Amino acid sequence: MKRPATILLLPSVTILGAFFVLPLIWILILSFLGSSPTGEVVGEFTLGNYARFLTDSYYLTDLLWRTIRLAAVATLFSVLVGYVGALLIVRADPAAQRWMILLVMLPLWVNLVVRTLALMVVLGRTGPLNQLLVGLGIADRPLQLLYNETAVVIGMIQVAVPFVVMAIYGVLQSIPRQLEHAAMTVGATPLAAFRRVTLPLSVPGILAGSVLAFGINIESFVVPILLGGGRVRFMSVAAYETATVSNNLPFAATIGIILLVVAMALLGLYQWAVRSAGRAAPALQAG
Amino acid sequence: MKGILAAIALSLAVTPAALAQTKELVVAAFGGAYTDAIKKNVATFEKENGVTVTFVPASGADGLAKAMAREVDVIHADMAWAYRGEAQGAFEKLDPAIVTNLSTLYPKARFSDYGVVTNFGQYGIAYNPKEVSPAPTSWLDLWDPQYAGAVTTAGFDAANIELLVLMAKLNGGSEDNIDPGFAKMAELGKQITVFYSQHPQLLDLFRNGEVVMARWLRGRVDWARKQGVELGFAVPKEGAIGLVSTVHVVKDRPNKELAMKFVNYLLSETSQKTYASDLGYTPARAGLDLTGIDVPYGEDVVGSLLIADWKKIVPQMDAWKERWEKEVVAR
Repeated sequence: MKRPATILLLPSVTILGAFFVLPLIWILILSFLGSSPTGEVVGEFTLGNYARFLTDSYYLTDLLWRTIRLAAVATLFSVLVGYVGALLIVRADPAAQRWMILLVMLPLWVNLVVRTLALMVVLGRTGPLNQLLVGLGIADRPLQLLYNETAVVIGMIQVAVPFVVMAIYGVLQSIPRQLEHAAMTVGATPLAAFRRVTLPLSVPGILAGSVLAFGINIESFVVPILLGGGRVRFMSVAAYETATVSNNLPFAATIGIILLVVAMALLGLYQWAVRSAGRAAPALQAG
Repeated sequence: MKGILAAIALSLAVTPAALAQTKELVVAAFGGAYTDAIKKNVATFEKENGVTVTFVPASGADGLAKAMAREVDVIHADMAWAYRGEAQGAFEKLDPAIVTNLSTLYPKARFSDYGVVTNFGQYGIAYNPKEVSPAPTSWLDLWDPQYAGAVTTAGFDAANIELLVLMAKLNGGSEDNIDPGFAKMAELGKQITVFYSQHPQLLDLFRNGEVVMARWLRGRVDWARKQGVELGFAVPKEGAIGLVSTVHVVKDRPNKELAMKFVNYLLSETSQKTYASDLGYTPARAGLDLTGIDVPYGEDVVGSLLIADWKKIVPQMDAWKERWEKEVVAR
């Protein structure tokens, strides 16, 4: 390795090492320790925390599976919404594009709690959405839109979409428009041209966007607390409450480590699946 | 990092003259209006003792962590964290020779040698008088099937632990036999649509008519009325649930005696009155003249507060929290 490169890397490595890697290692160690009834960490190796989590259907289905499921559903919708948004931006004229990108980024400058509280107003009993539904005669009385899984999913979509748009926008921009035009000159309908040319070429953007969205959603914390009404249990919230209410730091660490490992495994699996599907697709089309 | 920033802030704040003799006392408190109320008369204490009092916002797990790291001299807590800190050896025994005001307190305030309750809040039943009639008189009214779906309480917090223990006691159990309590709370869980997590959220639920009855704090009901939501507040016949603020002197810190004096200051007549006038909490000190302050006060009020045996509860909290999620919250 060249010396200047090493020196330039030093600050980021130091910061990441001291404030991210080391605490993470400590959390990992903590997850294998016990906790006394009054909350002291007991310095003896144990697998008890993992056994407690992995042998209890409450932790496995009500907590872990719910977290994965909601994060996955939210990711799917984030990618759908984000893709349409990115496509619209790419197809707009360059001057408008800059403004549209700015609009997409704008929510990121507002604190997440504030954004989620705003969403509570929108989804509330007397909120604009319910007024619209009742006004249009779609519902005869205000619906319960808040404090359930749907509300949490909507909240997570709202958080993830800007990231998805940016990821897909970058890739779509690099695909020459002429490719689609060429497809259409040889008889493809606009839809077929999109489906057979643009969509496959934008897979890296979808991949990047969905990985980002899933990563953000699965560690969601503010959204399930505010929009879940105390009934939508989430891994990150459970870890927090295990530390601050139950005062069992090792078990809280265990929940955190399981969330981390599962998220990484799922993302790895997902990337592998999409990549291998991408390799298989051209062969199918040729045949 | 925080230490460095604090050090810079301090070196900027301390003037050369003060540098010569001023000692510093670091007090962890709940922050916001609570800290403001304690601060109100602190200048006198600082002058009398030649000390600068610095307040840091910390409570619960954070407060105890700061105490264990010996970063603060005095911490505020609730019953659960008080007993955890005591068990972990974080606190000094309060010295009655310095904390002379201890003798002026109601017996309920002196729950342990390692800390003291400075004031009490009252949890009762907040209700919408247009929807709930007759007015609730018992905690069991929350279970009334007539209001199913329109009642609420918070998550697994201290007051719900008190309610859980009360339900156990009313059904033949106790802190040591909590099963009857969970059976009863599970019934309540079925009638609850939303477990509230913040006060403004509950205010909104009342305002929209989604909730007509809730376990809530007296001071918060007054606040809700000021926001234009008409609410009644009932003290159930079993007793109001006590919300307590405890204070503790952290072990092995240089200014132990000053820290004790600070606790004594919090128990002084002036400070105790401020808890009532500025925060709406019931003082722990007996014999105060609170005319003109609309706060429940007196031997009967403090004596009737429901405060369970937290020394027995604390070691079971991890297991109870898990049961709460499984039996009360889950549908």
